[in-house]
Amino acid sequence: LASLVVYNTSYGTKEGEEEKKLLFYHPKTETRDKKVNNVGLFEALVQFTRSFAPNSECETLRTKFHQHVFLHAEENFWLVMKVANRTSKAQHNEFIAYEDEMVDTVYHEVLKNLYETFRFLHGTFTAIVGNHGVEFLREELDHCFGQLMKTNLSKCDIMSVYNGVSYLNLDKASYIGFQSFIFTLQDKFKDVESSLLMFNDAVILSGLDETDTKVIVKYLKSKLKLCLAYPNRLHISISGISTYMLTYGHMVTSLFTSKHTKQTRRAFINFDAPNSMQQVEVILYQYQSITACLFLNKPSIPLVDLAKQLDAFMGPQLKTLTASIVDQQKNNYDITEPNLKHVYHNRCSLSVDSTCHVTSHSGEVSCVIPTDVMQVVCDINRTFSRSKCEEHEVINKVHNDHWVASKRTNGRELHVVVNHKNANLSAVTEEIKKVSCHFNGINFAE
Amino acid sequence: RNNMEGKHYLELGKNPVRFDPVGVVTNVFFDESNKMVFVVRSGGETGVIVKGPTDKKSFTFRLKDKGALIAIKFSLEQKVLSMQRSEKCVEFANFKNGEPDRIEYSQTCKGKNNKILTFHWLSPNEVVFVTIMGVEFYQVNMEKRLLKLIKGHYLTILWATYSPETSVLLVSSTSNLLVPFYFNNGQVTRLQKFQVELSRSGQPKLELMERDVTLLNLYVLLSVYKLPQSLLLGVYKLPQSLLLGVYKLPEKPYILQLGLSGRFAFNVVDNLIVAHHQVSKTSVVFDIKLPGLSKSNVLYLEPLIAPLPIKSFKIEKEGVYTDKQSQKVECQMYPPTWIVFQPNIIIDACLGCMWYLKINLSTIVDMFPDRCLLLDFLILRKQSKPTILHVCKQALTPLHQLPLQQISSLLSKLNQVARDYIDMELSYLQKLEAQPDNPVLPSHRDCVVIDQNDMLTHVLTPFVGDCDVIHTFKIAIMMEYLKSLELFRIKTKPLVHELLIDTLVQGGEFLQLQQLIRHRVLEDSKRAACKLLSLESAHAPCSQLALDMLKRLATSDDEVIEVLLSKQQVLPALRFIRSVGMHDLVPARKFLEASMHDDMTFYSVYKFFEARNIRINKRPGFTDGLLKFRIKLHSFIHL
Repeated sequence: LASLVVYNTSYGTKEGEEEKKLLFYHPKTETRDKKVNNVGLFEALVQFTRSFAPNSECETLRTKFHQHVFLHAEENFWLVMKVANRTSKAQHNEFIAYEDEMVDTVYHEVLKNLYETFRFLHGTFTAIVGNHGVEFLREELDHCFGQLMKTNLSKCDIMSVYNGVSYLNLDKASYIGFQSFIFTLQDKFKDVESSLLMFNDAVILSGLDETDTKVIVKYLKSKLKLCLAYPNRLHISISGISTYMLTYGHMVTSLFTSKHTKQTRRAFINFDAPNSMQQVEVILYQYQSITACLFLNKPSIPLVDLAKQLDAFMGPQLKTLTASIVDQQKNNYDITEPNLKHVYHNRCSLSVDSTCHVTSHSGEVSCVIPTDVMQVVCDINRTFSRSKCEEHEVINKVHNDHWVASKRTNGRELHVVVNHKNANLSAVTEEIKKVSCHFNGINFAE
Repeated sequence: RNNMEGKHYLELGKNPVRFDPVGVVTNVFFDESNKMVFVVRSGGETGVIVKGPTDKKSFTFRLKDKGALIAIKFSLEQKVLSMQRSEKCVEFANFKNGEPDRIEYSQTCKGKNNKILTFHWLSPNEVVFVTIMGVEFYQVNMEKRLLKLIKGHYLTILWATYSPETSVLLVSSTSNLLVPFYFNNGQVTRLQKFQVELSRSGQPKLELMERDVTLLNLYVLLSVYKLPQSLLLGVYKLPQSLLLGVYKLPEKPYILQLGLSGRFAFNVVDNLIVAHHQVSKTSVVFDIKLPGLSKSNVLYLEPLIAPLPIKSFKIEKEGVYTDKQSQKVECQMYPPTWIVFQPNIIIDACLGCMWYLKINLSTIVDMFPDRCLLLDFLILRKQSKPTILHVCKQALTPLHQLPLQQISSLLSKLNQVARDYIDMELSYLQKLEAQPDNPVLPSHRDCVVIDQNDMLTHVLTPFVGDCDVIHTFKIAIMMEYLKSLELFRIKTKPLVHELLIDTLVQGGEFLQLQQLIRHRVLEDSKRAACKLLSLESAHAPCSQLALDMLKRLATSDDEVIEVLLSKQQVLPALRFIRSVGMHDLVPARKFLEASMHDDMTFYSVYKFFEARNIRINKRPGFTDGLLKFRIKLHSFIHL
């Protein structure tokens, strides 16, 4: 990551006041002139490209050494991310230069996610400026982006593009059981407006819409690993995450705290529906592998007291419900062939599933297939997305005995990676069938 | 309890049987088996009017006055008229064409110094005499006009009580010993005697009197006894296994806490024990199937509702007419002249009225503070369906809304009943298959069952349509209902699923909808798929869900093709027909027409069908109707 800039085009329109446009600039060490110049350059780029495509906006700019990704987040608010080309050292190799090109979709999604996470924690830029003024927004951005920027860009791949959620597979009865549990909880504790329930990394159910669910799950996943590692200690605080032990489970405090405002556990949800952005307070409750994220609207009693009451209600019920999940997970355990990997995404439900990635105990997600294969996958995805046609099917042979078969149909996308020495097309097709039969509605080589 | 003032849930039936009241020359008798009132004027010389069981049924005949009548009864089906005028003898007359036969015959009880206490008809030609020395069971030969003793059981009898519905006679022998007799198919069975423990040790022994014991027939046959000074009502359960030939000693499983002392009279209405207390002019009800306090194998039951009077009743005063209009007079309630008969008959002989006691379920609803108990109560009643549905509906309306957990348990109660019904129906049908001429009618068919259609029509559909209810609560209720159905393994009807889809869409909960379909909570059906298709404009992913569902159904391949073609996805449609093996069956025209927008697609489709023609007809050509497609093909190939 070379730099990250947030600016507003409507601020400081007078000559000499250009610095006012700047809301956030990373790295901070940059000189004032350079900052102003860069913002000027970005603005000019956006204006310039607009003349070619009046209805769409500049998304990415590639130069020899850098890639720029643009995001028009809100009216007049722009986010620009500049990433150094990984392969700048080996620029003479044409093949690697090609490989480099496709990652712009990945960066674009990373930037978008960065913005959405900020919005979830603090609200929209416009709202912050409206309520607290520009200076306040600058401080918030400073504090928050500083934390969020720690994302390791080299680890971003197709999963960042899909930016999906994995849902837990449950049988009908247990699913209804969880639904009923949440509804009863919301009926009993009227302060709880909506809830999200997770089992480890997978979502059991969510009372929010797809976008909110996606952002929250991503945020929680990045943070929760840390506290799940030490679940049995009282009032521990690791990397700024503190937990509060209750009789059955524990409450994770401080995840939604803004140090700056001293207001605790806030979040903003419901962006997709017009004019219904809501500020809510959040109780994050964990019981064994279950994480419950409860969104409260103006709670009538202090959160800690409420959490105690919730614990008394939820603990015993979750105990039985969790047992049912654990039972099923045992049965569901799927032995996958080592040479066969897949990535699956359903655009309609935002659900993802991947065997190309593994999660380590520390919560680090890493890719187990070679980087260049993964980049082929990303590339195919981009090709699919840019095409007007809804149906695609492609089989690629990558140089090192890997084959990538990709199919997009009816809103779903499946990439199957086969590692097979000296394989021919028909052998690979056979292999692919083994995977695709698990996915409803996807058949290769029909 | 203050707001119960002036409220009633017990009432007297609208059309009482009216008859001439008891007077100087008029005597009134009641025949329990036939539920008929006999009004005997001047010993029958000036006529006997028989009325009942309803007010409309009545007939008159004459008798010769041969002295004062002790009892007068018909045999079942009114074949024989029987009259008791002395302690030792009952006279009979065949009854035909609305009048008694002139030739009478009689039967004297066996043994010297014997006295008839009472006699009961068991069938059109079987009668039992209860005498101080025993039980005598006779068969009546109407042609020969004589009676034949079938069986006699001899023991000292103080008094007896008989239940015509169950043909059980309970006689009291010395020292509170009760002996039940059971009559069935011309047979008398003497059952094991049992003793009623009345007095505690050290206290003087109490004697059980006839008026203290009543035989009640509700879920099972019960014998209740009540001593005047006691606040409690002892209940003996008489063996219900009588019909099966297995006999157990009568148990004493219940004690009803009446709360008042003094004399009580008992009725049974809709399997409820109604205890009338004359002094306080109130009644209380008990249901032995509802929970009570259990102490050493005895269930102590409290009255369901605080004591309340029976609703007052107005009758037309006979003989007094003003302006041609009959004058209505309020009856005196709980007068000493009331006599109570089983199951729910109240007779005021001085007023000339016979009522059937009724329970008003719609007014009782508001008297139960606990909705769950109320539902338990209603489920046990007959014809309570509208009331149950009303209670469910009320539980969901904003003003009376119950907590979700309570609603959940209400739903479970209803579905438990539905499950039991299904089980019993299945086992009945199995039995019927094994023995097609099984005469035993299934008793479960009388039970109230609220099925999914009832819930949908009367409760859920109006509830979902209610704008005052928040969406989350609607969805919560629907989920609870589904959960409860799932819990009791009742197959959910497609209409319930459709309503759930409506509810979710109404609230914009598309993610939920997706998840519910994914977890098969919403089952696949053509109707549900069509519903989803219609929602595509509101939420695009719905079409994916619908298409998946149709593909899974495997019976709606035509629909899948239609959907794909309507989206101009011609090639996916072709792939689909090939995957389901329909590629030789579908008409080419639809596909060609749908691909007209894109030359490349059109070409592929055209070639696909050309290949098919070659395979089937050995030549590539289409029929004449498809000529225009051929022209199109040439038009752009030549370009």
